[in-house]
Parts: sequence; structure tokens; C-alpha cells
Amino acid sequence: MQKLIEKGIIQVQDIDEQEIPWVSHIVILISTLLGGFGIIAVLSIMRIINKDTLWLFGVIALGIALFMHKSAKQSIENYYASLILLIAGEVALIVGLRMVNFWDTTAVLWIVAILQIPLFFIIDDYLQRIINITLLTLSITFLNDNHVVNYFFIFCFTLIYSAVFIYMVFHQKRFFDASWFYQIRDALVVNIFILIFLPFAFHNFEPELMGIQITFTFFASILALVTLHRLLAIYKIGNAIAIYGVAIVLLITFYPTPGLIITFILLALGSYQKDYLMMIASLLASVIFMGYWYYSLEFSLLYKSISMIAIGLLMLSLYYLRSRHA
Amino acid sequence: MIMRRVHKLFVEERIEIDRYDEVSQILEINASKKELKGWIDSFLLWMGGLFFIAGVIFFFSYNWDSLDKFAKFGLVFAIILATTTVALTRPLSSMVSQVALLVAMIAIGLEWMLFGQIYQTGADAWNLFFAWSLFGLLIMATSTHTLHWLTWLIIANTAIYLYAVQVLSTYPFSGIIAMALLSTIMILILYLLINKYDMKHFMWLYELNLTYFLTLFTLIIIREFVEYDSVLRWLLLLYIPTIWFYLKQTNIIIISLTVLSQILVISSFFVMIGGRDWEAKIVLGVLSLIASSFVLINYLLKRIKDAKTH
Repeated sequence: MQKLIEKGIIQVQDIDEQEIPWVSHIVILISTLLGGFGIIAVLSIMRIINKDTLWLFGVIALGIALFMHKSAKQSIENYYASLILLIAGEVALIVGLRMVNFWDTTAVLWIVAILQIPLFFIIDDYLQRIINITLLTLSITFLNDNHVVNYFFIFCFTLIYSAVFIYMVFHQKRFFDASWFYQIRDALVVNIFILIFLPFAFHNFEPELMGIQITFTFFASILALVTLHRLLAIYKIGNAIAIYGVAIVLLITFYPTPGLIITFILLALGSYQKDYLMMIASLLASVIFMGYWYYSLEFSLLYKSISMIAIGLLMLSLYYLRSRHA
Repeated sequence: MIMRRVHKLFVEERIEIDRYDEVSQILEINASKKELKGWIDSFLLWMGGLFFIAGVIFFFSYNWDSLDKFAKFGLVFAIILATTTVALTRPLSSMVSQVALLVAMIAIGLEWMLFGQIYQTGADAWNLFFAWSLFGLLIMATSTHTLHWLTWLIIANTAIYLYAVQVLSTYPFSGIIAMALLSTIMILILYLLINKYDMKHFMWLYELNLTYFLTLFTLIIIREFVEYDSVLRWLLLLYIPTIWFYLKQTNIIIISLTVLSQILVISSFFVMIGGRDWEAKIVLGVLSLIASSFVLINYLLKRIKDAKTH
């Protein structure tokens, strides 16, 4: 930032001192989530709301939160209070609608999904937008009772976010003034972790649904190769054929876990943008996906071990060749 | 990380989008060719080493009957020998040595795993991790690389946790206390290494240990409040100087987590005050949570502002 000030591109007062680091966002998120749930608990204990009026409280809380968010006074107290009310409102609306017998689960999930879209555009707040995207993904995912189809939905979202993000990264200039540039990236990371923490997402594939798995892997692999191709074209790095070779071997070997391929894409883009947080998140996710690959039932342990030893030796020899060349 | 801050300036139109090329050139927003080449090399070496040893572990999990037991032992021993030879014939600080030592450290555990698999000793899992951490200590002592220390810490903590679960099953929470004690010892060692021997590269491991210790300590205190267990109630007296020490740190991640710990401890304290009445517990807990969050998040933002102005 100092360099920009020295060059006269920005003034000292342009730097926002109130900018909140990501870890503080997490602290605020946890305390607001607890606070949001707590408010509902306290109001129900005090008999102010019950199962018939919970949804009404949700609508009122959402309205007040939107009003507070758009009000002129933008202090941290205002921000924190509006976020608590938003979360309490959304939770109360979701649970409250389900409690009124008129609505069934599918209808409530549709309402939750549709509600997220206006909220995303009205509230220009990082945390709230991440919550919106996550709720939208989850509500559409859980519209089905079939676990394998859930996996299908959530993977569709992951692929869409990946494709949009790859496009945005390589056409950075065109999108750089968009306020949702980072939200798409973080939604992608959140989706990757949702994929990890839904235990059925990994190895309970029924044989007749193997086609879906292969389709996902196919599209994820295309995205990975496009990313690699663009990076190699930008940097004009030598040994390109060898790097493509290793990438293709990796993609073919790990086809039962397409999530792993997406984490490789995130790692490559994180390296390109010098985004260490994304690199750490993708490495962590790749370790967990690798664990699930270990437990996948498609191949025998012997196949898995031999292929991994072969990939390891291939990568080490490529490193050796590159270091000798250098 | 700089990119996120610059992005905000573009969104708020403090910088015109037409100046994007100029700004990205000045701040070197994207990685240079040299940096990307370095990352590709690191990726190939680290992932190559880890894929190789993971493949070997998978191979022994397959438990191939046709392979003689001495051939199995010999294979893993050969890996240990080869990797330590590679590490010792090069400077220990080189990346190749670091990868070789990490593979050796994992292979030591594999040798013990194999021992249990072949001779069916009937030993508990904690025995394996304990023996692994004991022999891994040799590698950790010779290396000054943080990743070897981190790997050793993961193995040692797993050993302690499994010991508590499998042996002290009547009071498994003692495992958490033992893990907190181990991390206290590590914090002291790392503090000495950083401040007395100027090993600044241990800083992130030191901060990671501080975070780990705070997490465990917070868990212990919350449990004491919630479970009405008066045995360790005096630990609260230690919590206050600990928080004082943590708030003196400069890392914003540690300060943020300290604030979160305080919010949780204060709320659980009020939950305890609620006694056996569930309604009182919830009301007091929520009110204290919201009040402490307001005060402490304000404090956190003030610290962030101070850190930026200085």
C-alpha cells in the first residue's frame, strides 16, 4: 500500500483502518450465530414467541436487520446487532415455517433458496453473502432425500463456482471492481468443505450412478486442464509437456474423487494470485479427499498403492530433471 | 493477501479500474515467473515424496501374503536408510533433505505398524504412536525445520490422546490436560529457541502452539463450568494471567482467538451461575454472550486499528 501512496495513486486517508481481517470475521460469525440462536431461545422461554408465531418473529427480525444495515449510522455495534438479527430472523423463519403445518419441508427449502437471492443483492456484506451462498447451495441440495442426488447437486454448484472463478481470475481486470469477486471464491472454498463434511458424498456410490461420477470427473478435469493451460501460456514455462503429462496421470488416477481435482485447481489459482490462505485451504482439503480416496471401494489397495508409488516416483524424477536443467 | 485490500479500493472507486495494469505492476499482484517455477518445484518434490510414502503405506495395508515378512521389514528399512543417507549427504536446510527426513519420519511409524501387523502383539494403538514419537524424536532433534517438529507434535499428541482413551478410560478428559501440558512445554522450548538462539523461522510453530494451547485450555475451563467438577476450578486463576499474556502478542489471529475464548468462558461462567434452572441458564448465557461480544469485539477492532496505525 505504501508503494501506491508513494506513486500518488491513493492518499493515506484512502486506506480503511476499520478493515477486518478474516480471522476476526470468524470470531464475529461464531458469536453472532450463538447470539442469533440465543435470542430465539430467550424469546421462546419468555413466552414472547411460540411455534405458531416464530415465523412472524423471523420476518420482523429480518426487516429490522435490513433497516439497520441500510441506516446511516454504520458503527460496529450497528453492524454486529444487524448481523445477529439477520441470523436470528433467517433461522426463525426457516424453523417457524416448518412448524406451521401448512408448509412441508420441500416448500420451506424452496422459500429458503429463493429468499437468499434478494438478500445477497440487498446486503453488501461479506459474511452475510457467504451465509447466503451456503444456504442457497444447501437448501437446493437437500430438496432431495436421495443422498447420491444431493451429491450431484452440490457438485454441480462446485463446478459452476469453479468455472466462474477460473474465468474471473484470468480476466481479472474486467471483474476487479465487482463487489462479489471474493464472495464467489470463498463460496467455492466453503462448497469444497461442505463436500468433505457430507460423509455420504465420497464412497457410497451405487454402481448404476457411476456415470454421474465419471461425468463430474470429466468436467472437473477439463477445468483443471484449462487452468493449467492458461497458467503455462502466461508464464511460458519449459517442460510444459512433462507438466501436462503429470497432470493427466493425476487426473486419471484420482477419478473416484473429483473433489480432489477441484482442490488442485484451487491450489494452482492460489499460487498464481499469491493467495496463501487459499493455498492452505486447498492443501488441507486435498489431504482429506486423499483419505477418502484411500477408503473408496472402486479399486483394490494394491492398485491404489502401486499407482501412488508410480506417481510419487514420476514427480520426483520430474523434479530431478528440472533441477538438472536449471 | 495484498490483492484483497487492493480489490476493496477498486470496489469503492478510490482507484479507477483503468489504472488496474499500473497498480498490478507496482504491487506485483500475481506471482512472477520465478515464484511460480519455485512453487512447481516444491509441489513436485513434496507431493512426490508424500505420494511415494503414502503408496508404500497403502501397499502394507494390502498385506500381501506372498511377500516374506523379512522382505517387508527390509523394504521399509531400506527406505529409512536411503532417505536418511540422502538427507545427511546434503545440507540439512536444503529442500531435498527436508523431504527425505519427513519421509524417514513417516517410515519409522510404518516399521512399527508392520511389526504389530506381522507379530500380532496385541498392543494398543497408543503403544505404536508412543514408540513412533520416541524414535521420531531423533529426527526432530537433528532437524530445525518446522514441518518435522509439527509432524512429531501430531504423533505425540495422538499417542497421549489414545493413551487417555484406551488406558485412562474412566477419566479420558485427562488426555486433554496432558496435551495442554505438552503444548506448554513446547511453547517454552520454542520461546527459548526464538529469543535466545534467534531461530525466527520457528515463529509460526510457536504461534500455532499458542493457539492450540488456548483452545485446549478454553475447553478445559468450559468443561469445569458445565460439569460442576470442582477438581480443577482453581485453573480459572491461571486463565487470567494466560489471557494477559496472550493479549500482549502482536499477531492478530492470536488476539482474535483470545477474544473468542474470553467470550466463550464468560458465557459458560454465567451458564454455571444459572445453577440447575435451565431457563435461567439460557437467559444468563445469551445475555452475557451478547454483552461480552459487543465489548470484546470492539476491543478487537481497536487493536486492529492500532496495529495498522503503528
